[in-house]
Amino acid sequence: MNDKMQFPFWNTDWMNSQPDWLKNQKQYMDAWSSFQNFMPNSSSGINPMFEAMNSWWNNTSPSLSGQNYDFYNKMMQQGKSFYFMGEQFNKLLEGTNDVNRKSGDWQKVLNEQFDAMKSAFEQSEAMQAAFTTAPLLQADFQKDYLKVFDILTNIEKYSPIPGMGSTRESQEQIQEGIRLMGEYQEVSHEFNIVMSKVGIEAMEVMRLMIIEMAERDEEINSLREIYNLWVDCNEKAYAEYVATDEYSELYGRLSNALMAVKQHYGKLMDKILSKLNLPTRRGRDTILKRLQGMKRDQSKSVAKITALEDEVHALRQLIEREKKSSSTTSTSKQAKKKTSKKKVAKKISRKASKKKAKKSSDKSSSKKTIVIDI
Amino acid sequence: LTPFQLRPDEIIQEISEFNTKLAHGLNTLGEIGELEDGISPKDIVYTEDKMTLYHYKARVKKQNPVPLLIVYALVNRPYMADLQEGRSMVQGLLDAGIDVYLVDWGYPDEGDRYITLEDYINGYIDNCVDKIRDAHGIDKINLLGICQGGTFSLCYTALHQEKIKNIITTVTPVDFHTKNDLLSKMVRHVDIDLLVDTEGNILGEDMNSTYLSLKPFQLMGQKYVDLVNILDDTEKMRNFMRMERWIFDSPDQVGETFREFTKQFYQENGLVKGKVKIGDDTVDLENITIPIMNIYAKDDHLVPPDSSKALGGCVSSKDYTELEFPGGHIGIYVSGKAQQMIPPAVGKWLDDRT
Repeated sequence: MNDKMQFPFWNTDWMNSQPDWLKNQKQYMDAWSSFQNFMPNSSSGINPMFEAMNSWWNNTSPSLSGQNYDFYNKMMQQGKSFYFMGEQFNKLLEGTNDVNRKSGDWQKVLNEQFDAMKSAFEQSEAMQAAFTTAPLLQADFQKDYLKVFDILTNIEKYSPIPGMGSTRESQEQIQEGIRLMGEYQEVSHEFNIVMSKVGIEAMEVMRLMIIEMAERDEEINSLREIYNLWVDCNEKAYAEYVATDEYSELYGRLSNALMAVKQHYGKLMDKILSKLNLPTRRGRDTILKRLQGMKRDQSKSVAKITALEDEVHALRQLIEREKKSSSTTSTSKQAKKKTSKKKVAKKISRKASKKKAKKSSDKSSSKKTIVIDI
Repeated sequence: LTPFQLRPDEIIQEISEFNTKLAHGLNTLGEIGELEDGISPKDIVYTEDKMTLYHYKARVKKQNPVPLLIVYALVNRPYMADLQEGRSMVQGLLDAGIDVYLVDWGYPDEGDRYITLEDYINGYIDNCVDKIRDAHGIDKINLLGICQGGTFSLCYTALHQEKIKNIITTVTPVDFHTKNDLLSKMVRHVDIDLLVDTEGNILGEDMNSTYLSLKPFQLMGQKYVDLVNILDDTEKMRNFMRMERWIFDSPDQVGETFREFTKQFYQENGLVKGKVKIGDDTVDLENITIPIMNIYAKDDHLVPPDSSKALGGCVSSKDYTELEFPGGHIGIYVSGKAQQMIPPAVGKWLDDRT
């Protein structure tokens, strides 16, 4: 397993070690479920259930390890939007109960309820957060880094004063940081407003879709169906906006403004570290860049050396072959020489024999002579 | 007539059930147990820095003589291709008689900050290809790229085609400026130099939130509300957790590579324009003449089909095959439907060209 994740990441050892506790928690929820059956059928029924769930979660969550907590917390957070829909549509249904369901008056109730939902959305940070979670922009940054900026903001009153004296440079850098932070907050605010508008627009899309469904005689039979419709409408409105150049430009500005702030304060931090003779990020980057360059050069050198080694090896083999073949040639030449000497000797002896034979044949002319030409 | 065919008390009942299931669900988490990092047996055959080259053990007798190297993306982890029994692309390929190797990039840290595209493509991938060629005593191997790994594979093939016999790309972005490419639009105006100079490596969680933000209500909301319905089913929860774990198991992105990739590919759309630089080399997809199989997902929200299909118009290959999978970006690797369709098709396509 890697060093990045603990395994299993929803480690449940704590459960096994506390079976009674878990049992108690289950009993608590079972008791709550039974209790709610005696509650009056009104919208007030949802809030207590939400409170009960919240209370259960508040009791349970401290026992969970970090990653278990994160996972279950996600579910709890998403549950909130489910409760929100439940609460809002419960009111709507109570409203429509009071009017003639077959007349067009239900649409009046629907419109009123959606107006209420829009205003609830505008006031609900949790609901807006679903829209305004800007990717690439770490939530931790907002929580942790901004504490530093809060401190700096306290000295904002000094920012219009030009820097002077021996601390002039530091003052100017702080002022620049405050300026950059101001720019980021401005764009961030703009981003949140736009995204909230998209959220409101999604509700309008949903209202129209419900009316269209009524016209097509389609039915909605559960809160889950309502929730799914809400998700679809939100995705639709969001996707339409994200596809625009306006969003692309705004997102770019937001990211760039945030990075400008982070980079500025990173440089300030480096300056402080440098004064303390401690390692800086700038210095580390220089080393890493140099190191990677050296590694790349080394890899290329190794590749070249390997290629050269192969070439040398091939050349050596060639030389060996040449040597072998030349030694074979010289041996065969010597052998050839020996052979030819023998042949010459044979030839001479044959010629001599021939001469002898000729002489003898000349002597006895009646005999036929067969001359073999060598 | 109002479409609402439910009473207020039914809504309260539904919420009450939701609460109960949610509370009881904690118990199920305790029953899930450990999850594997991929299921198919494999050997480590080569390592370099944080990269590991795996060789999977054969599952059938009949083997295609040309081995296949799977090049995974830098985002998320490659065990997605071998997630669980019956839902493993690797297993499917092995069953199709393919000799499978896989590149795992590991988890880069700050020390890797200056690794570039050249290091990845002309370094790590090339070294893996050479190792496999040497091991099998052959000149050419087959390449299969997954998502960004497909883009890397195309760059590699354009530069080192003499080492590749056939290439398969799966959900691979080629044209980064198609109409529905939300990811591309999102980064269009981001100052990437400022981002990388400030952040160094890009955190995996930031990459994740970017992907999730493309469909935030479904991926960050509805998914968890739906999960409540299966909280009492240990097996279904185990499957969910496998995926959930994979989704959030995101290595950080090496700063310099992120800079080069985002600027050259996403912002400048350099791959289709023949302008991407890998070290001193320029990638020209027209150089690719070998057989290509291009697999894309019809409902892919991360790599729109048009982005992948653009490949056909960029290469010189006369043997170009497209295969559309009726699903999404992840489903193409993990759905049961994909297992029936993709590995056998790849196996046959490769067999026909061996």
